[in-house]
Amino acid sequence: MSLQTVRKEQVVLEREKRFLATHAACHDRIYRYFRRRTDNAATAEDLCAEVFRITWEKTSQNESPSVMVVFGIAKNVLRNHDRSALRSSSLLGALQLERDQERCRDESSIHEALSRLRPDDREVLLLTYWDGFSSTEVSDLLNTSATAVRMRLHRARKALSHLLEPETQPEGAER
Amino acid sequence: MSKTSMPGGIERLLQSVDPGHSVSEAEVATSRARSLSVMSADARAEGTTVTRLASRIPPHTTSRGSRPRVRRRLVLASAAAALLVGGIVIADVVRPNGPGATAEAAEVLNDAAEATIRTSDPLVGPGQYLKIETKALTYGGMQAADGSDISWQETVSDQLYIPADKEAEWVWDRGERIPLESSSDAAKAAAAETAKLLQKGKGGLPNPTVGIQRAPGGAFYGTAPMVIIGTSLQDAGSLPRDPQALLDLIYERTKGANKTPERAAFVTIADGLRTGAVPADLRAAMYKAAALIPGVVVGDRQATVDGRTGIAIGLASPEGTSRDDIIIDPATGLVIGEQDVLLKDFSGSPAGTVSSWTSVQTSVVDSAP
Repeated sequence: MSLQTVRKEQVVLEREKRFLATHAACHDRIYRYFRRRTDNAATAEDLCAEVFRITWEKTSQNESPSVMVVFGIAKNVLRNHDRSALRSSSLLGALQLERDQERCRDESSIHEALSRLRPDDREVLLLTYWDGFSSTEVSDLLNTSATAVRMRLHRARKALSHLLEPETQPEGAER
Repeated sequence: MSKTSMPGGIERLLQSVDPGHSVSEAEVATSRARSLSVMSADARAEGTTVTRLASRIPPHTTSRGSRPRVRRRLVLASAAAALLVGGIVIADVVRPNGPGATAEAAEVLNDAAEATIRTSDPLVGPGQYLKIETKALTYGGMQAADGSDISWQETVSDQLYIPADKEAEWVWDRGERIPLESSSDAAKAAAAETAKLLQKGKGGLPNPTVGIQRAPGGAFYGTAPMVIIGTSLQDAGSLPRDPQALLDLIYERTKGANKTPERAAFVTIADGLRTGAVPADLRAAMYKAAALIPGVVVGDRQATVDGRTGIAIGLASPEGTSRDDIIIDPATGLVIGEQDVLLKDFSGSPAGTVSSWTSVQTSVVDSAP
């Protein structure tokens, strides 16, 4: 192979390696992130493809985007999607869908309680317990302090248990 | 302050209703393949050639790709390597069919459970590490200047050091990929070239897949390693030790995670067993749970993985093209490795070919790199 070709191949190969490493570390988590927040698989797949198109562009600059960076991209892609689709709450849509598939009553009551939380609080809760982020990571992602995240998490947990057990919640009322 | 009377707490409650858990492997695979294709689309636009790392599909990567999210955390070493090579999973439409666990397989598994209980776990003292060495046979490949593909088999050796205090820093030393001696000279040259490129990394960028990585609590990919979906290694104590209860829980947690519930459960158990980090009583329960899965068979009484011999217990893919085995040392009840065996001829390889394998060895050491 000519030197030119080899060089070209090298650059492409390095970029692909960077991209593949990032893709391997992130794709499934990103996909599930979208599935949890949008209506169906096709939408999640579209958004996922968009995220990795942007990620691929970033890898041309010798960057190896971290998991958090890719999730930051995902967050923006989701926000743009929600805006353009003019949907007030993607979660509600997803939850409705979930409910349609014969789910036990417990599950739908939890989903319903979730949908009644303040969106900011709910997102902290979901990023923590569904997407598996630490409070520091959640704070990175939401551009806020880790303390604020822990406070929101505390508030969200409290609100959720209040919603789920209103009659046996003596402490939930004062806040 | 926020006292909740809900058993298990909010965390468990939320995880039990996580829509992400019911996402099928097929749709994840579809998305995975599509989002990888941005590379070739882009390269076409630029008029450059694309190297084949992404498009290479080693014979049957299906099982290796199952539920990668969990596998990756659990089986840090080999899964990540396998994913890098074969990120694309073929999603076929399939139909479960299980004649029931064979008596022979059930006997081997129950014996392994007994042996596990008899053989005490290595004690990891304060400051010490549980060292888990894995060696995996995977696929490598590259495109030559003339556009032809060269592919070869290569091995990757990794060491994972888990501290006695599992919340402390884990160390993962990921090895380089070494082509098999039997590879052609052209393949060896291509492999060396790839390795060199990776090592240097343009702009002084380190290769993310080789060398030492550190992560507190083992969160190499952002979250703590899990034993099964929804239960971290730290919380392993909370899982039921009753085999049927454990299996039911695994079925529930892995709903939709693989082509068949049986396969999802078997792969989950195999992952857990080979981490080397699961406590003995839970390992024993996992063996007994595996014995309850329909379709589990003895694949080979004399399976050799990386020079060691054990009994292969496996489950065939629903298409019947391959079988995933865990290889158990009957004397200790330890999983010494895994293998994928072709059950039908595939792209030049006859049925019976071991298309990939991973060996696992655990020991206790005083220090980590």
